[in-house]
Amino acid sequence: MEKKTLRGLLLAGGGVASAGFMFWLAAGGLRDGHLIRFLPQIIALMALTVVLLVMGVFAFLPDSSLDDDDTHGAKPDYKHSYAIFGVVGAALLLAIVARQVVVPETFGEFGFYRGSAAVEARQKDPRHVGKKTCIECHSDVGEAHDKDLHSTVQCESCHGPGGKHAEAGGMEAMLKPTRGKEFREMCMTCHLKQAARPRDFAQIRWDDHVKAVGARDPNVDCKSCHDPHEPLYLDGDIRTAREHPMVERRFLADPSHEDIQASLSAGVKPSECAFCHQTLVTDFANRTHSRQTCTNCHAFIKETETFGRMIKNRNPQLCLRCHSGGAHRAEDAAAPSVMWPDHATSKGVSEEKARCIDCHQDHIHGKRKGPHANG
Amino acid sequence: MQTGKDWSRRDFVSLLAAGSGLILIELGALSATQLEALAESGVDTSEAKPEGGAPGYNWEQHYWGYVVDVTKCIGCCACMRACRAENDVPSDYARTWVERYQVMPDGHVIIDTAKGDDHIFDEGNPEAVAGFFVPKLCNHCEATPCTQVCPVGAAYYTKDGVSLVDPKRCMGCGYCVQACPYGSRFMNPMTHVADKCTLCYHRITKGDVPACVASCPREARIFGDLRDPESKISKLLASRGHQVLKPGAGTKPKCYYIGLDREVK
Amino acid sequence: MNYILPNEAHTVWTIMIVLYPYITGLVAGAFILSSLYHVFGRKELKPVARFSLVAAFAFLLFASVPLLFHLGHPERAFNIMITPHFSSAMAGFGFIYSTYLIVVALEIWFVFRGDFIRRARGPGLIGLLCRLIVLGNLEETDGSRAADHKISNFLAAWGIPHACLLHGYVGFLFGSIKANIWWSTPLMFVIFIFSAIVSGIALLITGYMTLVWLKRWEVDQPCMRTMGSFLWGFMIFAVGLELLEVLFLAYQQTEHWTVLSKLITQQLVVSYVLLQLVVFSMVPFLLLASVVLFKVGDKLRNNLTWIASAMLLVQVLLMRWNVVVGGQLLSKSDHGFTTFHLEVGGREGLIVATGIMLAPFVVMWVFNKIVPIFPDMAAKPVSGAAPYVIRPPAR
Repeated sequence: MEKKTLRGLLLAGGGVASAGFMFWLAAGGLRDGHLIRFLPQIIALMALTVVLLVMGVFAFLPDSSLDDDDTHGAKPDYKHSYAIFGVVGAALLLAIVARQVVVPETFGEFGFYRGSAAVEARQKDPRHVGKKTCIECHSDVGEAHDKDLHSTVQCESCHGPGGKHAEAGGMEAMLKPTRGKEFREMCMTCHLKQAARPRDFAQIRWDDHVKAVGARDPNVDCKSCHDPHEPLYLDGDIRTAREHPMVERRFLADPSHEDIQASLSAGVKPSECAFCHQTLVTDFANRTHSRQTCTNCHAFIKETETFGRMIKNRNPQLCLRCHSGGAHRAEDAAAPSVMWPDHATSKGVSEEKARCIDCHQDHIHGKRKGPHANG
Repeated sequence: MQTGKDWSRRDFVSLLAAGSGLILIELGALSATQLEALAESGVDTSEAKPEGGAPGYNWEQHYWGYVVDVTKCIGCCACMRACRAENDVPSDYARTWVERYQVMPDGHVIIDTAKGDDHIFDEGNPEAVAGFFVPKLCNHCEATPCTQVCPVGAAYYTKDGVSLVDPKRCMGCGYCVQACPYGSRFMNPMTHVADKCTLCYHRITKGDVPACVASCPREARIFGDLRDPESKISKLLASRGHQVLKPGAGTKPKCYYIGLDREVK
Repeated sequence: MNYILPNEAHTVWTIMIVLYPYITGLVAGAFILSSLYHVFGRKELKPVARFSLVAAFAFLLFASVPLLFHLGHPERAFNIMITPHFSSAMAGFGFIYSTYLIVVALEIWFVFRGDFIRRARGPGLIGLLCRLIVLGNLEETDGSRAADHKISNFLAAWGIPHACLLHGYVGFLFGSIKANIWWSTPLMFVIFIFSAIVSGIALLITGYMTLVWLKRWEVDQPCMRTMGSFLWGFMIFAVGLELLEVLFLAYQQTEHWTVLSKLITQQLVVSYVLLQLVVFSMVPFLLLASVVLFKVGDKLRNNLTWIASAMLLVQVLLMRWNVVVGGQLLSKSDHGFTTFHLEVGGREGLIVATGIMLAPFVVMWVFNKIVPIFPDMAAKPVSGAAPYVIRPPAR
């Protein structure tokens, strides 16, 4: 065998051997999850493999014939190239050593990342402390808050993160919503009516709401009627409270509201209609519909034609639920039934204009008096 | 190696052989010392837990998951505000956000997110007939495309199932931001490193829940330990049908959705 | 309706990321042209072989500069070599780039060794510099020259797959991102390599013709003919692949086609459809077809080839732009597009980009001051006088 061929084979063989060693290291490293620790060795071996294979292949290459004019057919003499390759090799080795020095210590401990990073990620102090911390000092508010529908709304959602305040006290760390329009904007972040909000969620348009509750000042803030911690002032069941949001506790102390004062002394619960509408309820007990509960007619769940604010619409369909001759009449046979629209047209009233309550007021609430009478 | 001495190829090969031998010995020695060091330090990855940060917390015992109930969300964005305050999220970026989908009478859908730092949705399109809100956040995928493409090992996935960024290692190339199919990542304009939802790692490792979950008044966001069959989240996932975002991407997200509409991509 | 996710209001990758693949493309293309001479024996390319090597080296020196300007923490750039995460295509950059720099530098060392030695014998700073470069060994024999040729040919051969890797990995970097539907395609690796070769050859033709025009040299016609043919061939392949990719998208029409078709026909209609595909691809194609397929006079051939090359340089830049910026315009919501704002000043702005593109020419000019890139160029004969030839002194 030619010397050249033997040399080539030896070098190439050396290259294959170093490649083998490299793969053995890599496989072991991968198995134990310590591959990153062996990275410098693997890279050095890769470089060595390349060099040896290159030299091996080189030994087989024919001398180039492209640039014969300045070589005059001489054989290649490589000794001037050792120095530059030595420089390159030294630089590579230096880089590998440098890498070992600068790689972070915990790198690769748990995966391909710096182990201490996972530790550092846990060390930040939480800024939000949660209701359980707030009520350590503000227990009274917490108790009221627990009972009402805002019990799932976090203190910090309206008042801002409480971390600093819980440690040091003081008001600078906290948000306190202001009055008037800004206060209303905060409530509206949740309660503004829009198509995308679930139907069963309480939501309003401000102008409609002002009109519906009969508020005289359109710029009144929500706080005037709804205590933000107890917006519905739930003392009974949710359906009753929802029908007619309760006034703030401070109204209870208002002497001008005689009905409320009377109810308080009579021990009537604030969630009962009689609490505010004492006179009306007492009067109603003497009328034909006395066995009906308030909620049979005043269902405030949906604002549609037949349900909703009955007082506003006075739609005959409500009365006809019980008083029509059809299949859905009341089981109570004492409720007299009429044929509709004959009952109205026979009296000379057109179907469009007919309102039961125009003639039958006395059967319901009678002529009402008082500050909330609306004729 | 210059003038005078005549170095033949044979000399060079001997030199190379000797050099290689030296290198191999050195490498072998290096390997041996490293193996020794590993054995001495007692770092056994099967039971490893990093010291510090959260005393008493063992990340081998937890695997955190997240559920979003789309039917409950009212779009109040308390979660966005809580996250922003808890984690110093810069303006114009979000670690978590809420999308509003409004269905128009002809069936097409309009999507938007509440603008501004206080994130309050306006009343929306007056012609919309229906709609829903979809909270989104980093899905903490099991097959994270973001950690796959990080060139320097700054994006990583902890043993307790949280995808995090090492802010000291990240060089800010932005490749992970491109690779996330959900748009959960961004380049922080203050720190110039990649940033994203961390599942409030500093809270959950101390027994608390992420700020967004704590602040949600409707329990539209649920957080818990997937490893615990008695946890609320495990029971929920076992009893209700659930979906994930972009299942075709193969990222195996750990954020599950209940009631997801087909319009949500 | 145009909806983008909140984090997509700002695009992450800027003109710097457009420039980086463009530069490495020029490098790969120029190097491959040089290797066509050294490895595949295309003797007619000898006049531009040294020039293409120096051009490759000059651009390679600046290839990492746009990336350094882009990084949020450029001081941590070496992390990519300290802890390279090999599941990431980008992690390859550190080693591939630095080793390729060594390969090209070594090849220049061996190809230009004779010239360095000649200068090393001279006085002054340049003489000292050249003595340092040749490591003090000023000996030159026929045997050492033969060795130089053999080593440089080997390095040229080695450099071809290395160059393909250097530029191809960028294509893979984009094509492997499943999150971006404009980028995600297996063809990206190949498209990038072939359009890189196109840009490299176009750079050399444009550079060569500009120098010829400035210095009043005589054009080597066989060289121009060969370069023109190679340019035409590679260009057909590159543009063909680009068209194939978009054809598949249009034909398959997956769920993403709704938004992709809008991207192509609205956001990118000017930069992609009109400029990249129609004007700057069709026109060079026709120009080069006419010089390759038909017998044309030398002057006309040179002019048409030169114009086509300049246009193709723009086409490849547009292609990088449409990939990098176009892909980022798409929102991951699948329901809209974000906007890209081109900075003018600033770290990642147009001014810096122009500077980076001009710097390699400065390097080449400095290089030429040290050793000649074109030792054999003859000036055009003036009114019957014999051509003035610059040839290295015979030994």
